[in-house]
Amino acid sequence: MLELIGIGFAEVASVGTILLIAAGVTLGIIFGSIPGLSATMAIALCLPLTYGMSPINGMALLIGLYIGGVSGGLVAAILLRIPGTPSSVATCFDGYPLAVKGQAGKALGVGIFFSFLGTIFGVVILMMVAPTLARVALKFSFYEYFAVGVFSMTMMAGLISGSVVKGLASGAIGLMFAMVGSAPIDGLPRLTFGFHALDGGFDILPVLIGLFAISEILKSARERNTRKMKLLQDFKIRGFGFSMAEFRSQIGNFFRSAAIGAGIGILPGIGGGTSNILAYSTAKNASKHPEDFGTGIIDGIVASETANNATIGGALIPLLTLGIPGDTATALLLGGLTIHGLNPGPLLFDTEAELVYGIFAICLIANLMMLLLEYGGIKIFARVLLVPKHILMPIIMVLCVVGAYGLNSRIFDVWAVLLFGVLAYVMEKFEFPLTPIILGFILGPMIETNLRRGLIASQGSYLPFITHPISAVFLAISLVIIIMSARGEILASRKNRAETNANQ
Amino acid sequence: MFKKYKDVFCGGFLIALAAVLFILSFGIKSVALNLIKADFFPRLDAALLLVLGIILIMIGMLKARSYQPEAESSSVPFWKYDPTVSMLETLALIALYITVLRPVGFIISTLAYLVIQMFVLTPKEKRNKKNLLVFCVISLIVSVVVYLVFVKVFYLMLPAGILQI
Repeated sequence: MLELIGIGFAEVASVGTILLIAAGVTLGIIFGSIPGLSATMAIALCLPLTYGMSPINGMALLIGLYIGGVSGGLVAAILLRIPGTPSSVATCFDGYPLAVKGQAGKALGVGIFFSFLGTIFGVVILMMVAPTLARVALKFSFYEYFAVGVFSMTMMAGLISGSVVKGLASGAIGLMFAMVGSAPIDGLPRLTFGFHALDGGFDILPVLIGLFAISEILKSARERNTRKMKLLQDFKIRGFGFSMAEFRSQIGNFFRSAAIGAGIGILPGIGGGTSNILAYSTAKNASKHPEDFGTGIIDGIVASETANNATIGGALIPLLTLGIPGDTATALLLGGLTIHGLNPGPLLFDTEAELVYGIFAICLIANLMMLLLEYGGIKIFARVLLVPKHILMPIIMVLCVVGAYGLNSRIFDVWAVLLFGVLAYVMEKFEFPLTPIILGFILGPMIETNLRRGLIASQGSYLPFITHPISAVFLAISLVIIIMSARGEILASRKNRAETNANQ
Repeated sequence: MFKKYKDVFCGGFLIALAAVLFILSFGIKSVALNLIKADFFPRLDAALLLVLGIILIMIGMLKARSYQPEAESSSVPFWKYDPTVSMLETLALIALYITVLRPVGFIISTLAYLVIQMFVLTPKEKRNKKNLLVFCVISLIVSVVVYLVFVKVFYLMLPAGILQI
């Protein structure tokens, strides 16, 4: 194990790779700080740049963006009370009040330092769990992969915020887009409407850029008469702003929040956006002084920032061992690996062990750089928040176009980006979550291919899907999730009705 | 009216989508290796969308029954509502940009797009000559730098169009 980690570090020990990590982290923090831009968007825009790089260099840039982006959200959350990314929503609750009290430096210091510790926790979990899980997953056949795919879909639909029905519908729409192009196994084109450009199906990059970048631009276009933002600019930062006693008081909170973060990361489809809020409310419930939460205490910042960064390592576990992304950013990392012809899955740990352990090393180096760069450059990152949206968003739009066009030099892909952007915008208006679309898009082919291959292998019998123990367990859990969430939804709507009746 | 039956409309849309997918699935040619052919999954997905659509309509009807209209609903029709206008302008502008990108070339179309888009997104009271000049300068720098960086450093192909660099 230690030897392999050594190999990983040797793999990334070149000036070029380190510089790429630094560039990724810096850009990531900038994208993370600015509300409306996110880590996912940063990775989507930079993905085309990695075509020409070696896989390890490509991963260095993308993971740098990921780690920087998740942590960068705290800057706006603390100084503006607007979360820079969905991962830092709960950081606002205590970060901003603390900053208003004149202790912005302390709030930022705590946030940055616990982001750092949170990432380490997540990556350690990743290094311990992933190789073992990969060894188990090596024994998976079509039946198990099919069951894991179905499980991931239902899990994600059930856990995602709001309506289960809408979550599942988003997933089904994602499945629909995944079917465009050649069908698995027999390779016959379907649903292409005669467009030969669609014979190969939609590429994941235009889909992601459209869903997560263009929809943001359209949203910001609606806010032309920009609300006034009050940025707390005058702050001093000395040390990390907390004492040893304060640090000791947070140890329990840290481990609890980190475990929540890593756990949420492992679950498919939900990431830092969920874990930071969950960790915050758990910390509040477990606290001896819950009434102080929201007034500007460091407990809240620690919970939120630890959890969202611990999610990174967790989200990489299903990605590397099974090829299932743990959240939207890892869905893009999946794209970053497949453009180099690498298929994440248990075999990767055998065939590309240097790369896998290189990725672990990149995570740790990027994390250290995040600590140094974000701490050292905090004044500059705070200034970036002042760049007006009406200048920034058009430039992002141009970068989206470049990214989509650069893929295959086809205008068609740029139109696809716009199509998915409008789709995402409309779906969000009607309160459909976007993440399931991506999961449906990625898991659809996996589920279909393995179902069809499994049936060919079993000569048309469905029995192996329930006689293989692992497959049976996953399918059973999926069924339970569906029943439980449907029950929850019915109960909630009944309660709602009873309340309105009572009010009348 | 529309807001009240929002979920009913969503459900209806899902059912329509299911119908389209189901009809399209008959056009899929397939080799019969076993029961499951290339048209199976589209039909399964259509069935899923249909069921979800029906449930959503039922939920929507329930919600509509207990719906309370917001106290102050604006009487401005949506096509005159400023945010919608600026969003539609942006959408049209992006479509136009994509259309002219290849024939005109990256640098010129990007320059034009950036200036107009920044102007569109600027609040009306702040639109003046000084701002316009700033937009022009920023746009020129961005379009040239992006072009050179991507083409010369990252070796991505971008349409050169009428400017031959």
